[in-house]
Amino acid sequence: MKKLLEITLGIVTSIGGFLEVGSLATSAQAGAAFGYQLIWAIVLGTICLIFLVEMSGRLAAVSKQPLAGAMRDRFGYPFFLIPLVAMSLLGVLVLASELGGLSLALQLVTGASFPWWAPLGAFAAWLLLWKGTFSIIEKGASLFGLITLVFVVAAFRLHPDWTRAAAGALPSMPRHEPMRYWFIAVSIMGASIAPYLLYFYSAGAVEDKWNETDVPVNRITATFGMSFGGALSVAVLVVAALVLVPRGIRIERFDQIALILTPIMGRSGFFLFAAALGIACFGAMLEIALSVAYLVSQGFGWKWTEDARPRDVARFSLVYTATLIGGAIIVIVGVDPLAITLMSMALTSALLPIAIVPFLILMNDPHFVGQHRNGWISNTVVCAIVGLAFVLAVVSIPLELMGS
Amino acid sequence: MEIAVVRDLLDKQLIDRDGEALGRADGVVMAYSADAPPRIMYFELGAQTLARRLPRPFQGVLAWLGHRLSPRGSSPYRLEVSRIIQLGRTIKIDIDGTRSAARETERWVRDHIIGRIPGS
Repeated sequence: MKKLLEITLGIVTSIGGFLEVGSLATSAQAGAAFGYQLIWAIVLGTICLIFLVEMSGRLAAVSKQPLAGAMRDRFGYPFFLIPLVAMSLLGVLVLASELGGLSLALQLVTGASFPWWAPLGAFAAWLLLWKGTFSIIEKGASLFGLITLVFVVAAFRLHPDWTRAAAGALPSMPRHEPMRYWFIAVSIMGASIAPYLLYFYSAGAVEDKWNETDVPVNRITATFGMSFGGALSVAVLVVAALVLVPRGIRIERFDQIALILTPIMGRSGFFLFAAALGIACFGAMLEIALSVAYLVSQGFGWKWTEDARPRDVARFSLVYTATLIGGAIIVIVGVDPLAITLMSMALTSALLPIAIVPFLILMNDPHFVGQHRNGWISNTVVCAIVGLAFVLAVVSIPLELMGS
Repeated sequence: MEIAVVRDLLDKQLIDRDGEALGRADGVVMAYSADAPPRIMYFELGAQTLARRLPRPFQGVLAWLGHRLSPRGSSPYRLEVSRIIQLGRTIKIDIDGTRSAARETERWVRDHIIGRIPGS
């Protein structure tokens, strides 16, 4: 009974924490520009994420080491510096896009101008990290995050053609605008396979003192939680396809996404969208700021935990504070939030091998995971999808930059 | 028991006798003289040790950064290998970390930055 509750809670946590500005913006863009055709990118990204999340939980449960610590341990300091720098900078960039999403949500609700919300939102996130504990942040963010289920409700109300949607789950060549098609596909995969989630998840497993008995539960919660989470992204895509395509709306600015629920749910749809966007982004900000702090602190062997007073984990607290400030500066400077979201998601795809290849080597090293090593299925699936995302990213990012 | 320096010592998490983090083994120092067999003496911790492990172009920048940022200059801190009391995924050293120089930067950040923010 207790196990069942644990599994349910784990799944609910993953669903509530899944959607953030990256998946939301990329799925909405895909739906608006290509109908159901890009659902396959969400499917591939989600499958890869299931394997990776399961792996990072298993690593922490078996080796009692979080991912970042194990990476320095196994590969040594000089090599570790590469993922450390790449993933920290990427973290700041992704945090900026989440903060952009939160600011937009606040602007939608209040009608007050955009740049003011960024420092305020960053400060609120910082305050919660400063005062809160790991379980408050993890459970709180994901329970409130369940509001994102509104997209599933909306998708069902539109009575989509499920056979056509299912056809979109199989990869196909673009019928028009090939450059844009591949760039959005890459952004979707980058948004689904978020490396910061792995650092967060494995550190959380260590904070919660997992051991080998947690391996089966971890497998179930990762599989179902991430699958349902992926279904949320598909719902956003379906809603965007059915609402925006007939009206001929192409998403060029962030606030155009804001109206996708209004035709279905009226004025309350508008506010539900703003609430879902704001909460999802706020939760992701907390997770990203913590992930960067975990990555740096574990890598350098500093004391790290979200459950101590900030003065007792001074450098750890300094890192999440600096990450939030860095993200806020990018938004305040006034970079276009939609552009930064799409670009940071595509960039994530391009940088994936740096984070994932060493991770895979770790998961095949009996020195770390003993008999709980990866099987050939997980190795093959992760390699194939990460490889595909990387190749598509390397080809499509320069084209997108030249085009715009 | 056979110990491989790079696999089992270098870059491992070091903890004090209470299990609190001291840092990671940024370097391992071996002593050698003509009249005694070579012996592993110390773990070395610090920005300078880390800088020395990088390709040459980065060394200067990192040493400078470490010198500017760390409160006690960049001279590395040493922990005697003879004080190891547990060797595994983490390495436990028989010292009291609260006053150890290994935590000097942590204390500096606490006293000068984090500790000054209300609610810390």
